Amino acid sequence: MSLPVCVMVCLAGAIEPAAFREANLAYEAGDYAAAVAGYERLLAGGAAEPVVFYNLGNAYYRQGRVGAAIANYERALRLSPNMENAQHNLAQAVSKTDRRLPRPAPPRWERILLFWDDAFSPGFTWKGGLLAWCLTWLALGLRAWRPLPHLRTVAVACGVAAAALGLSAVAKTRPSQLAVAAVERVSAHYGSSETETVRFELHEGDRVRVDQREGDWVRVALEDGDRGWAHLSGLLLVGPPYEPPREPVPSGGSETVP
Amino acid sequence: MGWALNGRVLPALIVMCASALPAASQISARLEPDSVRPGEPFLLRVEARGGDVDEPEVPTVDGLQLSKQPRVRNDLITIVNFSKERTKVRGYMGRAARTGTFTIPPVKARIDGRVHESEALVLTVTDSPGPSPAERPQQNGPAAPPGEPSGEGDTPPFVILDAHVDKTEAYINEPIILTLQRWILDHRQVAIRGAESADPTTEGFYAIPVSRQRSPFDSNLVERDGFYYQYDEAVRILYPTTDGELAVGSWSFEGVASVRDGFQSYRRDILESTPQITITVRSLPPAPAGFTGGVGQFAVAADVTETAVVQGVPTMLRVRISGVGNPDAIGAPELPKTEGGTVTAPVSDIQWDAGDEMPRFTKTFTYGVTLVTAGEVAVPAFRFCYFDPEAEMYRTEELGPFMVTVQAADSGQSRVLVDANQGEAHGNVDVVGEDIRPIITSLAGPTELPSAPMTALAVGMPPVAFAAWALGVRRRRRYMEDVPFARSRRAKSVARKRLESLRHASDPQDVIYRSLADYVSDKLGLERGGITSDDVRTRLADFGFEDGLVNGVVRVLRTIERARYGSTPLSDVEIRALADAAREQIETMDRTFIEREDNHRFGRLRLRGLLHSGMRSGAGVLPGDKGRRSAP
Repeated sequence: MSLPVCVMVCLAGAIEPAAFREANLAYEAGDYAAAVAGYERLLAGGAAEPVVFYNLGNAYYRQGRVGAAIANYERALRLSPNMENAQHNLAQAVSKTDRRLPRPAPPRWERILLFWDDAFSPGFTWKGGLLAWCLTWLALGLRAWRPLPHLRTVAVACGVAAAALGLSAVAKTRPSQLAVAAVERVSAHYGSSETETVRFELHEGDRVRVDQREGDWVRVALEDGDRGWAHLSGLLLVGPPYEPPREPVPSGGSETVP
Repeated sequence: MGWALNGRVLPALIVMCASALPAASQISARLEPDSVRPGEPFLLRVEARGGDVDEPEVPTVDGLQLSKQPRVRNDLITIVNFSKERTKVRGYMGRAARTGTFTIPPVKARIDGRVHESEALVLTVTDSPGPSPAERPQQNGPAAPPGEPSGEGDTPPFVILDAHVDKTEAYINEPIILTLQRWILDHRQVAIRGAESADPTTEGFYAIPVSRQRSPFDSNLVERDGFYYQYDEAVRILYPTTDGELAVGSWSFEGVASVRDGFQSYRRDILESTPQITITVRSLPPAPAGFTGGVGQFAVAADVTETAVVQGVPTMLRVRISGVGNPDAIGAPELPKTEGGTVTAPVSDIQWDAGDEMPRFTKTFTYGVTLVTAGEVAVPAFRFCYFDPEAEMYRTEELGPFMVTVQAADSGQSRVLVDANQGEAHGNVDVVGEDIRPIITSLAGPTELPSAPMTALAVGMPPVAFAAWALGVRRRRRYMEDVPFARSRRAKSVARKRLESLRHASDPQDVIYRSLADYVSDKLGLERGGITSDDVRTRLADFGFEDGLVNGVVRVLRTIERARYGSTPLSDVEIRALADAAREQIETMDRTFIEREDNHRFGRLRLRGLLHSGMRSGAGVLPGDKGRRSAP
């Protein structure tokens, strides 16, 4: 039963401690650009860990790139919803945005069916679901061998738990894609072209739901249902692939320090 | 027969008349008015009369927008000489997009089974100023019934609209005040319902929402020409965005007036609109350096919030631009580079003051200035340039420099904030305002979720293991519960073990005999013991074994039977030969049993597919198949 978990742990990506330490030292030395580069290198190497996203969010925040900071805090919280530091820093970063928009709510079915799983990480629900799944079949196997009382009830209960946790794990590992405006203004057009009329504008740090993608264009939806097409150059997707933001255009040699 | 009943709900009026001749089927149409300006509404009125009248078909005319749904619906039913006659009156709203003369083809309607046509109509659309809709009483609706107060003379205009601008020539981005005034008659005998107002189009203008300057409509009761009106006014600021001839479209009002006059009452359609306003927009002259887009009359001021700061603690530079113009068109003034510090991108804020006739605003740009060099530091002077449309020239104002005293930071005291890009410049200056929590330096275990194949493996393994386990348990249970099945399955191994223990046996020929006979008994589900070679022959033959195989088995058994009663015991060689023969026969029989079993299974599967076909399996029933026999 524990074999899949063992295999999972063996195959999981690992953080290179030296590179992580180096990026941390750069951050603590105030060299946020080097810290950002270091953390981004770790991510490019496959170390998509909450702690890396969190530290990267801090580094972006220190650089004044609130949109990129918010995106990385969101990434950290997707992997570890109970990460208190990330929750705190995310709230802090959102308070620095122009509009302080809330995080887009998940789809309605998810809000109804998975109202209970906010505090659980994807790993927890995945492992819990797998455990319940194994227990279900174990109970069925015992019942096939010797029909002890209540085994059927135990099997059904474990099956229901496995289904619920499995659904939660699927929803958490494949959540609706979020995007964060990573530049000062991102225009959302009526169509997926720069020539289309601008429908609305996103401010840096605004979080929107992505419901469609066509090449480098994504259709983003606001909480009020308004939709528009925005180019990915101004957005950061919270879900994988974890891409770094485009370099900001220098403006008079000044940087914003929140 | 001019009883006109206007309204959305179809009223029916039945009038008994003593006419000798029934009225002829006919259809007529007219335009109200037949001459309009572009964008101004007109009404195509169609009247069809007959015994059975269908809805008229509105023609399509290029350049005209004619509504297919009637704005006016009147139905009149009369009884003429004990036969019913129906009169349908329909009014269709229309607008012309351009000037010219338009011919509206005849309107068709099926009356009493035949298609009737009205005469063609001509609509003249011209730019020439004619009488305004308010000056055309007949525009408000059909003619009043004879003897009733008409809109001309007896009744004042129900609705009066006026739209005007403060200037018809302007520069790009120069503010233009558009004033919309509306008077709606307030009279106890008149009720106006179903009012619909279409705002004027302002294509080519940047219009700031009215709510940002003053409330859109302030209702007032005013007197005009001896009558009271509800007066509404809206003011909008328009900023032309391109040069050339721009137009403010027609502002229109539609509704229905219900008029009570003594014991009579009637309804009248109201169609009012204002003429289009043309504005000539001039482009700006070539702009000097530093022009940020402001057009209007402005006053500019700037200051720093703190003139004495600690090294690294930010202060704010505020630039206030107030005046009349388009605040959204004014960009931030560009500041020269500050030596010994950094300046952030500005944050802007707009405040409106609606107290004056022309709304004024104050736009504030706030720059964050962080100085890291101790001493007297100057934030350098900068310029703000805008275009004054009244003077028709650019004006430039210079602001600053702004002196700030920067005190050296004490390393033992408060921590101060600096720009991340300052790098080596900040020395012992540290980061202040730790409003975010610090980074995490310890590494937790990896939390990456397994890949899709691993997930499939982890999810798929338990049911597979369960299936294997369940099969094993089932087989074991069957061995325990189904004795014939267990004997049949174990027959060969039991016989082989007996033959292998031959050398230690006290009576080897009996062991051989029993091995062979018991094998047959186990396989065929017979009682062990007491079975003879004849029984074996009979049973095997019944089971359908070939004669050669049956004879081979029987030959071994008979040899042993004869030896039991013989005078001399069998030699070791003979015993070994008999054991080999028995082993061979058992192997042969086992193969045959397996083949039969396979055939039997196959036949059972086939039987399931061919139920009711009457086919039967010719093979015998194997032990262990009881209760699983398929129905023929």
